[in-house]
Amino acid sequence: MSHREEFRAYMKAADRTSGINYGRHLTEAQVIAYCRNEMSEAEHQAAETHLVWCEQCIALFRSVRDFLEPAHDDEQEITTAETAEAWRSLWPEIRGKKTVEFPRAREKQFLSRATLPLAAGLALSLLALGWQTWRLLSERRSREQSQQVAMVWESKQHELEYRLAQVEQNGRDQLQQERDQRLAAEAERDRLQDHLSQQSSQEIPVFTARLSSERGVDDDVRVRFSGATRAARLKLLISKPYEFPEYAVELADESGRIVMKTSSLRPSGDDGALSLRINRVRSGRYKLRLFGGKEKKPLGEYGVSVTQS
Amino acid sequence: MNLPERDPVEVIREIKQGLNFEANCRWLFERHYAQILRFFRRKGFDTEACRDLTQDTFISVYKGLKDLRQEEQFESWLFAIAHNVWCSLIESRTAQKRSATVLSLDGEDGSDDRLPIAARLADKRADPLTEALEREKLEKLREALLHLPQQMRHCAQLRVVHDLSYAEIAALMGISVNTVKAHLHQAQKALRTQLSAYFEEIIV
Repeated sequence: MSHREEFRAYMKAADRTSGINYGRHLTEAQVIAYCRNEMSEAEHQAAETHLVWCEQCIALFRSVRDFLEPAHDDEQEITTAETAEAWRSLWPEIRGKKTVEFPRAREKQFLSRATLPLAAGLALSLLALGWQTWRLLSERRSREQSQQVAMVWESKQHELEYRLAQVEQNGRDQLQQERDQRLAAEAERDRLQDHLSQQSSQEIPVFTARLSSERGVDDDVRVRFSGATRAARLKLLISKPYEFPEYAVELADESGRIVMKTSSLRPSGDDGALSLRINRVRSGRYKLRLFGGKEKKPLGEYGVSVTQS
Repeated sequence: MNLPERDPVEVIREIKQGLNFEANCRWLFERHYAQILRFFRRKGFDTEACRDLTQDTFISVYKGLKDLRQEEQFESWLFAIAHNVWCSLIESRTAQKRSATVLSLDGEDGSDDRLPIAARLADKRADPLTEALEREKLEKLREALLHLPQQMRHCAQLRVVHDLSYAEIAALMGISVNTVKAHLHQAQKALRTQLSAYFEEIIV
């Protein structure tokens, strides 16, 4: 034994016979944690003391170091291609030769487990597809029916519009005809009125026809005065001419403007006629409204016979 | 190698569930292949043996993955498998060479000269005088070691007893190589001073 070996043997003996309890051996995880400095201070110290003493754990430490140490500069590089090649070589071992069973079992289980949901999913999909198709067909059918109904209604609408146009045309024609007739009547009336005016200017009293046929909408009576009219005699065509002791008369032009107001007209004679003086009234058509009493109560239905002088 | 960023724990769980089995196995393989191959290279095997051992390791990994309870401990578990593969190979080679002389790491080679001192001290055939001298030498050595600071003593023990390299000692102690060298120099100097009468040569 050389001197060096002798010293080494004594060192070992000193270690082993020191009587110190260095604790239990370290596990792989503990050595890895030690190398990564992931232990507490106390744990690290205890592990270091044990390692120094324990040849077995030193061997483990060396292996862990070989495992954890990154590639050194002097080490041959392991390329991606080499890794890929190694994988291509390993994969058949795992897959083809059934080296690893649990994933296959899992896959089978997965398949068997997945079959039912897949079938259910497929059935649901088909059901949904069928329902969707039926719905589309129904919609199409409904749309066609709606279109037919719409066409029927449209033709009816056209027919009604045609009829309405005819009625309107007829109405327009009739209205035009009536308007023409009315214009002709008014022209005739104006002619006769002028004729009457000419006669009244000759101081010949003319008794007009009753004008109640021209009764207006506001309980008034439409009268026409020529420019020569100075007075008018109103004969009330009501059942009780003496119902009121006195009457009031308003005369308004075509626009509704009151051109003359007269009150306290007392009926006289057997027929209860009212004498009304007309001054400064231009020739034309007027609305004559008659009220009863000082309170000017509307008379309701009444008629007036006007005599101009 | 540019691997997609993934959580290894999640990958292992998916493998255990049989989800994306090939892709996940490949991801795990590519993440650790170089590490395992390097491990075996550092153990001194040739390239072909390293590839075979790495492949054996990964087959064991995929076989045993279903029984791995703590996915967070995967790396420790992977190391344990690689270490076992290596130990198994060593054992099988040892068994093949059983007929040849085996030198143990402790020097227990059968010859009395290489017996550990402690064993020889217990040997009934030892000479009483020699035994007394060896006991004294051992006691002096133990005293001298106890006088050394703890870190220095540990460095010396690791170097002399376990034959660790400076780098290995530095890694184990968590100090620099230069500090290791300084500690060993100081330890050698101190031991020589105290034990020169007992040991002819003290090399730390």
